[in-house]
Amino acid sequence: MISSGVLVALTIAIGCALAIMGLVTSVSKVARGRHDRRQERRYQELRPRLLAAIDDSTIRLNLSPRDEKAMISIARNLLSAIRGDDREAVVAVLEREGVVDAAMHQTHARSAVRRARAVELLGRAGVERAAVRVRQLLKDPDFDVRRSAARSLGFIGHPGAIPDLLSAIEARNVPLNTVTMAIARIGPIGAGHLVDGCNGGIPLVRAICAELLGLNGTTHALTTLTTWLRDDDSLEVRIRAARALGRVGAPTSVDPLSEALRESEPVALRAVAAKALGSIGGVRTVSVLRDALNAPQPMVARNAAHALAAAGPAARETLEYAARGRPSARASYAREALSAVQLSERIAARRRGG
Amino acid sequence: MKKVLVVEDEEDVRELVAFKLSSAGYDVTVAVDGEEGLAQARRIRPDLVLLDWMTPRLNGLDAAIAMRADPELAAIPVILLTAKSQERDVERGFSAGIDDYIVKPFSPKELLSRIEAVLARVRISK
Repeated sequence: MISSGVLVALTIAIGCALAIMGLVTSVSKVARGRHDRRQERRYQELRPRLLAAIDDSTIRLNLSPRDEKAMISIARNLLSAIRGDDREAVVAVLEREGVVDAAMHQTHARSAVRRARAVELLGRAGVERAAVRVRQLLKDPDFDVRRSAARSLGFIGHPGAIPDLLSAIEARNVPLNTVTMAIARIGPIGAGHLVDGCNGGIPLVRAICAELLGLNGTTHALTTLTTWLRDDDSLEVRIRAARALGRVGAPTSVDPLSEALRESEPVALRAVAAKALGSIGGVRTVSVLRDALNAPQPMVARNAAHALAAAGPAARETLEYAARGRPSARASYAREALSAVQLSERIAARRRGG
Repeated sequence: MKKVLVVEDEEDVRELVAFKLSSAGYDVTVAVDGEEGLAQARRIRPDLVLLDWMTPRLNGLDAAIAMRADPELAAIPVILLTAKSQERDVERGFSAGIDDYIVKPFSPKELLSRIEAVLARVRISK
């Protein structure tokens, strides 16, 4: 049994604790509100000065350290919304007024919010000299900072960042789509780094690399993609390599893709290989795809039909012949593919005003 | 002086656009969302409205549709300014009756040229 005295003491203690918590919350709310209002006033005062300086390079802003921090937020918003000469003018003002240096300094701030804002500004402004520091921030303890760092490396566009971005995929400490978007933004200039960086990686990294190399459309990676298609242990990597080879569209990929279409290969790979052959087109793909039309697996046969429809006039004739044949799955896939391609041609003609 | 109504919720962008248009000699009024934009349009009868698609309360596209349905505002040219760049988004915008479509990130200089072009077309059609 607990005595009534203890109960009263306990009630009073809980009441006091609640009162103190309430007081602390109220005080911090008031302080936050005051800080936000002060910050808003600073933005109101700085924004017109920045806009004037964009149009007139003789204007000097003489910013205080607090102004510089506020300017990081304003400039970050502006740089994400505009392009062209005015964007360049904003970057020039930021450099001239020391805001870029302040942002570099802020990447070491104790507050994660400040680090994230600073790194985002450096990315949006495309500050190449910040690339080394931004790469370090891919390992920041804060999730938002790491994500901002990955995004910024894409905007800065330096291919040297690709190995670090690939490591971030492997470490799984930055969202996959953010990293892939960043690498895609760096573009074909990073193809060499992608090939070098992916060979030793985990299957997920190679699969993403294959996808990105296909999007880049560079012939630089054909050997690597062909090796992955033929020999990789991961089916996912082989499938993505097949798709990438189709996107690059080099005639030299017809042989490895035809091999991937063999009956001994997994169905998912065969289906993608058929589609990829259609993207490459040409006479050599027709006989392979014509055989694949007879595949017992609907996914392979249907993709072969659609690939033939996309692979040029000779392939189209083959498909028309198959469509006129006796009722079968092959004939029905051929008719379906022909209807689809005719519909898209009609839509394209209507858009052209034909 | 031509009157332009700028409806944009992002303050930094709104102020930049207003500054650029004022510097180019336009009489600029601003609003932060579609609802306020419609109210301002009824009040000042602008020569052109620049609408951001993604605004709170009433979005820019719905505001454009509401303008086209209102006999008093239907003839005012509208330019949609948006981060939505997909083909179907552009089609949706033009189906709503807008006069031009500008994708963010945008060039302020190009924005001015497009505004001038739309206003010139209106002058010619009158």
